[in-house]
Amino acid sequence: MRKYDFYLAGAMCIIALVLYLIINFSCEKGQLLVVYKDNEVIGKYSLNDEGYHTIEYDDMTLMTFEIKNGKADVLSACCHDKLCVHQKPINSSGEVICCLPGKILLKVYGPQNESTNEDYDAVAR
Amino acid sequence: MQLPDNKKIAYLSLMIALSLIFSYIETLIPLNFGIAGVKIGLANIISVIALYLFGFGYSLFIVIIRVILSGFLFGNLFSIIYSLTGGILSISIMYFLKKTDKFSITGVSIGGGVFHNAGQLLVAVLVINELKLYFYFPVLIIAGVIMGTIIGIISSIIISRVETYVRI
Repeated sequence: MRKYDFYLAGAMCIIALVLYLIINFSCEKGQLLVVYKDNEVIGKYSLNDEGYHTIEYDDMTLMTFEIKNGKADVLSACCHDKLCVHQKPINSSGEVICCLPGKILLKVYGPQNESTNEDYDAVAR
Repeated sequence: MQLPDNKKIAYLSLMIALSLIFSYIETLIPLNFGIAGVKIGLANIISVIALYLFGFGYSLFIVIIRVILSGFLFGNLFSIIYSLTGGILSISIMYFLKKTDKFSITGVSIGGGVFHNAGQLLVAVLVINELKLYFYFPVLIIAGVIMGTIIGIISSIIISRVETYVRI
């Protein structure tokens, strides 16, 4: 390993750090949490209202989530992989937590796109 | 056009076959970063070795053929597009880094690894049209540096032992 190799690795790490900081500080805090089941809106919650919510279907609890400290976090889910539970709480506009088996999507909307509640990206379609 | 001699055919075929096997081994290892098929890049060992033993043209050839073949065998059309972009970008960057004569094999491999991932993510962002994917750039760069270092060390060991015997 020559010294320029370390410079290159160091430069890459610094670029990664800079990008991470830019991304982290440029995403705007969201206000509204919209919950979709089977692509239909089943609930809208403000991220400022702390609370504990359950999504039920056919007498079965599909998912429980809570809004705390301005973030939405999934507490439990009926799916077997529990990826949605392990995801970090979301609060930035555009962030989502989804439970694919349950077809549940929790999406955060920012102040200016509160009106655009129909939002399907290419993958969902 | 002059036909390549048997030695070239044998060596190039060997490298392509080896990199295909490495690609296959990667599909067996359940280690991944979660998006857009970003992988460890074991086949990059062969790319780096080919670059140093045979030069840019032949190594590019090996990469393209391997990507297409492994796409047919283990993947799909999208994986070919991702890997092709990542692979060509990575070999090109490695060629330029090598030309400056300032980096060791490991350094060249670090550059190759980072740009391989960057190329794949770029294609993913364009194809899926979801700009939020750029969240993954920092992770991919770090992953590229780490994997590039490991691949580079392995490649340099192999190259140093083999270069006196393998010549096209």
